[in-house]
Amino acid sequence: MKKLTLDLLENLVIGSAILGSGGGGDPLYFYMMARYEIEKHGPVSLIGINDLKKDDFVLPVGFMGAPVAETEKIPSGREFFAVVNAFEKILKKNIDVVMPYEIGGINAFIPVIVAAQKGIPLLDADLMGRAFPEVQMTVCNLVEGMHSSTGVVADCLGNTVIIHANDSHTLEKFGRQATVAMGSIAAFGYYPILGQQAETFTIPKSISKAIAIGKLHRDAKKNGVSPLDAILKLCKGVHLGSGRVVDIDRFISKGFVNGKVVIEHQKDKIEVIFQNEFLIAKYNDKIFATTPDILVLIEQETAVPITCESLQYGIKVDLVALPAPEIWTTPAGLALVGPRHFGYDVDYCPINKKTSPMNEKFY
Amino acid sequence: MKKLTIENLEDLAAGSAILGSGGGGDTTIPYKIARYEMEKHGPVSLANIFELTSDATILPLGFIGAPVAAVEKIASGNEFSVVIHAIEQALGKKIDFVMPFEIGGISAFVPLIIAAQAKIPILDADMMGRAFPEAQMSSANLQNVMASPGAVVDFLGNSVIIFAKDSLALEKLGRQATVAMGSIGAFGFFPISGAQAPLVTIPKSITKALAIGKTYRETQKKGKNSLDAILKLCKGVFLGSGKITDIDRVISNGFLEGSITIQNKDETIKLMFQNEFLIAKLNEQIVATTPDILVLFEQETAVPIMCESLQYGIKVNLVALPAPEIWTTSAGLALVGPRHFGYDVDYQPIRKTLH
Repeated sequence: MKKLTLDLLENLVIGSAILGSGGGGDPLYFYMMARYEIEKHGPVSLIGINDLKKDDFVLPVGFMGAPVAETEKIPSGREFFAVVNAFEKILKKNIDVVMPYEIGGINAFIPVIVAAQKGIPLLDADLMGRAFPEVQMTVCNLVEGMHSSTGVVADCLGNTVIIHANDSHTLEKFGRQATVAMGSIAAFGYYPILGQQAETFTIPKSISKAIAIGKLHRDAKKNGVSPLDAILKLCKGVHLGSGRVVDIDRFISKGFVNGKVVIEHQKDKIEVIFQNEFLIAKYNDKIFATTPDILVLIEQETAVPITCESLQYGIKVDLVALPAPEIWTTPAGLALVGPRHFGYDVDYCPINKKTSPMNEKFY
Repeated sequence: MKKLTIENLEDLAAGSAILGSGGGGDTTIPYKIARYEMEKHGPVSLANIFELTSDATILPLGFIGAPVAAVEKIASGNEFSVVIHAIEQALGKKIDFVMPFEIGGISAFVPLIIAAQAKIPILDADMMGRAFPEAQMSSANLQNVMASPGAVVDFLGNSVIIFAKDSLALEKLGRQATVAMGSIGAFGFFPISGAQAPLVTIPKSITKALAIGKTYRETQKKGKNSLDAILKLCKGVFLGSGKITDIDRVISNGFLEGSITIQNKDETIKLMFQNEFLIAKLNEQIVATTPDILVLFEQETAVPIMCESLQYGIKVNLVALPAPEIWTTSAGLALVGPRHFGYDVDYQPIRKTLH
């Protein structure tokens, strides 16, 4: 059993932002809240799947809604408990362990806050292996045997909504509407699992992975070397291109941030299309990387990953892609989170060093 | 306890349509479901407020959403027992009685359906005394009763249980859940105890709707003027008649809004609505407003007309029945008066001297 200390928490900031693939929200407030709770209650126990008892109840918790709303609508910190309490009442059992349902962005920090406050361990796993915009985009939805489509949404004012849906798509629909009524951001918990189910229903070691990415990033910066190379090596990622942001087309529709960003270098043009997360990258109008691979834009000067809502004209960026968790590149996985699900009539295009435009004469 | 039988259903349909004040939805389908369940399970018991024990738990229920959606999205009939179950779970108590939360329109029939299915008696009361478009427009809200827990359930069996900090938040969250369900859902909220019931409900609503329906149907059958009989029974007034010459109707924010113009030789009547009829003007002068119950009858058939079925060219009679007294207090008017609906006018009690 490891301990999640303040030092590791700082690694988690960069790691979760990179795995957020442009989405998942800016973790600043949640990092500060988690920091406060750890300072108050001591480090959080970070346990692996093998440390779970068979009948431990594990609850994935996080935030649902538009990440941009969270920047002005700050959580009270009580809403997570409303979610946990509601589940304990529904299940008539205590929640023994919490975990993130999504490792990308702010949702990496919510279970840390709950674990510290409640004094329960944090499971080193998640349900997405990155950030995705909708609740049904989890591994639970790909494997047989997950029958629960119960979710709880709670806002900062103390309103709670319990949803018993027939399937996870309906849960997404109802949860999204409740979140909209609550001001587009709300605490959310769903898919409570038993310890013995964790191996089947989760992507293991997500938190360790995010922490490792963050550590590399911080160490490289400290040592004055390129964090990008270190991360690409660790994650077996590919550098897809660099340039300056010359055009941003961004609009909010149906509760998502949609649009595209154009990056130019001399005569070459890279276009990245997004819906909360970066979905598709085109090089001179030819697609060469798509969801579910993890597309990341990193500002060159600061080496900080950029979220869709904080894209700015004129900044210099590097575009990289990290391979998606394997489960997402299966036909069932692609049906749930591939380009076609997001309305793009193209096939998934696995990243490959050979096909990277960096291989051609990009510079 | 009295019994409600199949013979009473047609009276209830007529009475609840009149008390719907143009809103509340078309009762055809819920009437048929109630009829089916009562044919199968027998009559249901109708309790009055004095037959309650103080620790009894009573759940008001009905439909939430756009009545027009209920026309094409038919209830399965199973959603009401899911509502009861969800509230029982949330309260940790058994529901002993059900009641309509509004007597106007389709919600009048929902308690009958579940009462027949689950052998739960109905309380002869409601919380609006007519139809209103929003959940917080409830007599229980005037007494600061906690509206939560509430449960919204769709015909597929999806359920949403809401613990809101006040009744406005419950309205907002319940409304959004309903939109996700296709704009119509079964809804139960404001669970109350037997001790609270006399203070926070409008008693005898079902009896009143039955009496209005009976008067209406009997006079119709005898070929007499049903309008006069209803006005006499309810102490209502006749506001005017004429032909519908203009309809302006839009769906916005989940409501059906607009106005109609009714014209005869020397008068122009304008009637404004938002799900229900809200304000009547005679030659630009306001003659009646919400919360009084404005009802439009087609002249030829004497059938009450709902906002969604208004048609150009039909001849109509406009009448107003007095609102339940609680709504004409200042607290009542703050919740359901003209200003709440965005009209900068005061409530104007109906006057008999008009015609």
